[in-house]
Amino acid sequence: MSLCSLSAVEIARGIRNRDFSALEILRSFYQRAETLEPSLHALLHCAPEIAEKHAADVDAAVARGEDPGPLAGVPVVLKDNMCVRGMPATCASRILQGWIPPYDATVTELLETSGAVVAAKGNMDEFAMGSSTEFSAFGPVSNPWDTERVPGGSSGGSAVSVAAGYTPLALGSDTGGSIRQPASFCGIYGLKPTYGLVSRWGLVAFASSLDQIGPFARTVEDLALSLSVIARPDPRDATSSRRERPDYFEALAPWKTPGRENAPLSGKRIAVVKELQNRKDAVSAEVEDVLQKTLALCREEGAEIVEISLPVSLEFGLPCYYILAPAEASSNLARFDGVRYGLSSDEKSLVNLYFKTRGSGFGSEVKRRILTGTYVLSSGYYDAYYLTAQKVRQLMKREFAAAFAGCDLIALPTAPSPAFRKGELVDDPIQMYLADVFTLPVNLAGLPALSLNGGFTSGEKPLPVGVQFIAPKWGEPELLSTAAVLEKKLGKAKTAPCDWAETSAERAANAKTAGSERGGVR
Amino acid sequence: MTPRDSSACALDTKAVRHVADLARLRVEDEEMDGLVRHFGAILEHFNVLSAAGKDGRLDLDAVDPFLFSDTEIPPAREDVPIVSSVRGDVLGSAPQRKDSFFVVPRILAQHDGEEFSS
Repeated sequence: MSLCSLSAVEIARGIRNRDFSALEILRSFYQRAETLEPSLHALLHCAPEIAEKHAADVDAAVARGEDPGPLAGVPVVLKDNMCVRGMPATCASRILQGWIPPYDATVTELLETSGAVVAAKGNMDEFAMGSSTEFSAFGPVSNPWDTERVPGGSSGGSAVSVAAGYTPLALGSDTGGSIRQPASFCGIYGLKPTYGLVSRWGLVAFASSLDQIGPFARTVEDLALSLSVIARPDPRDATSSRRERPDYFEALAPWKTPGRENAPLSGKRIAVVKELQNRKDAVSAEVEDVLQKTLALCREEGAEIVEISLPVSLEFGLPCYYILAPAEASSNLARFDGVRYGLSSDEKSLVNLYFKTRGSGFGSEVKRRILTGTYVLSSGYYDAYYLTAQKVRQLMKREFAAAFAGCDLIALPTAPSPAFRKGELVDDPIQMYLADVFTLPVNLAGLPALSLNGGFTSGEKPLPVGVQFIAPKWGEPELLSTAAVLEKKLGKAKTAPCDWAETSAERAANAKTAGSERGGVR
Repeated sequence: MTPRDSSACALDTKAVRHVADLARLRVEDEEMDGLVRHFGAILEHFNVLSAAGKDGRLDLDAVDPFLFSDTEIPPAREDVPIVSSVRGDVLGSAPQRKDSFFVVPRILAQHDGEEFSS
């Protein structure tokens, strides 16, 4: 069995059993990254010295007969907006280039105390603003299923690290779909937890009422394992819920419940959305096909398919989100002023320092959103835009609450289409924003949702297609349970074969000879 | 100008420059056309909400804005001092520092657009 296809559970078990060492696993991570990074560019920073020390600590603990934790020796990629002491955190922005966080994010602490080894930081859209990971200041990420296409975003680097088999586990952040949409485009699992379940301490804020950290994985068991590690109350994050967390593993085998052996989803009502049924033009035929096949599987496994209505969320969610998220971003990103960290222009007055540092440090999409957010919050426009959007958000929350009175889960496409081509939407922000139309209502309502690979498109280069399940607040066990049943039928998420790697490695070698300066594994 | 006027969908260069000033963000001349186009498109999109409120598709008068999380009382930390050990590291990240202070250029100056052309 190749190390790159092992799950986190298998790696941790193998290390505890001394089948292989944490150092061997880490080196196989770097070896695969070294081969594929010239084409994929999923990673912004590798930290072999720090990671090897942690891996050696895990091996030493095993040698002493101690248990290093449930993620013993599992290499993990963190999106580059999460702090790891001693490793750069750029948020894929020039404005933070060179900044080394002096502290660990809570998720970093929790992962490391569970035995995980943070091996690298994942590339992303600058400050998590984007749906394709083309807005990274350090170059775009490619989809491992077709390198001409985007991996989705904004957590594209984390998603690709898992899909391409660098690692079984990565963390992303999801403000409007930034875990689920790249999970869909890359053919893996992505979980956006309930707002308040996972601490954001040490996550660079984009839109604080929407941001949430969550895992990418190739198996449902790995999702449950990573969630059980990172979903802890944290007094350092005022939005972190103090409620007791359930055992996420208990949800994983509903077929073992007496009476449910042959119909593990019996009694579960999974809803389709009426407005989508009436608008077949809203999604591509391939996405619709995969959604219908997934629903048919749910029915075969005993679920009842019902219909609910989300008219406000589907029609007005997009403008509502693109008012509120930039408004919060314009406030959060005010801290990047050239005084305390990162880029700083050499100016003679403070005000010019602000203007020039921010003007040269932020990329085009971040500038668009800061300006949009500043405008909707400015005097004379606040009521018409920001306050109106907050009212619509309230209506959306009520709409979801009413919908869940008639169902247990809602099924939607994760994205309207499979992965699009690089450059296809980069000059048309509104069209790019539409890639999030089915994911962002979930953030506005603070709900949990999971994207799983429901199938592939046909054709010479089949592309993965994701299906999204949405649960009521704190409904992660329901999501994991349903995903586990479907995984039994559909199989675990596949590692992308990356059979183009040999050609790209040759190309990279040639480019290196020619003195290319493009960023890669460093 | 009210946001519901059609004119609100057509922010001109001057208005975009004003917003950029509010955001303390230098915008180059060559970026301006793209930003004006962006505001034209995005504000048209945003005005859908107000329009839906006016024509009755959304009943916005009867709803309070969502401004606070409604599920839990925000937890309060114990009132105990926590010693932070990262002061030196934080100051060490500063572009300029002197002793235990961040150094900034003079603060009593107006933003002068002319200076940006140099």
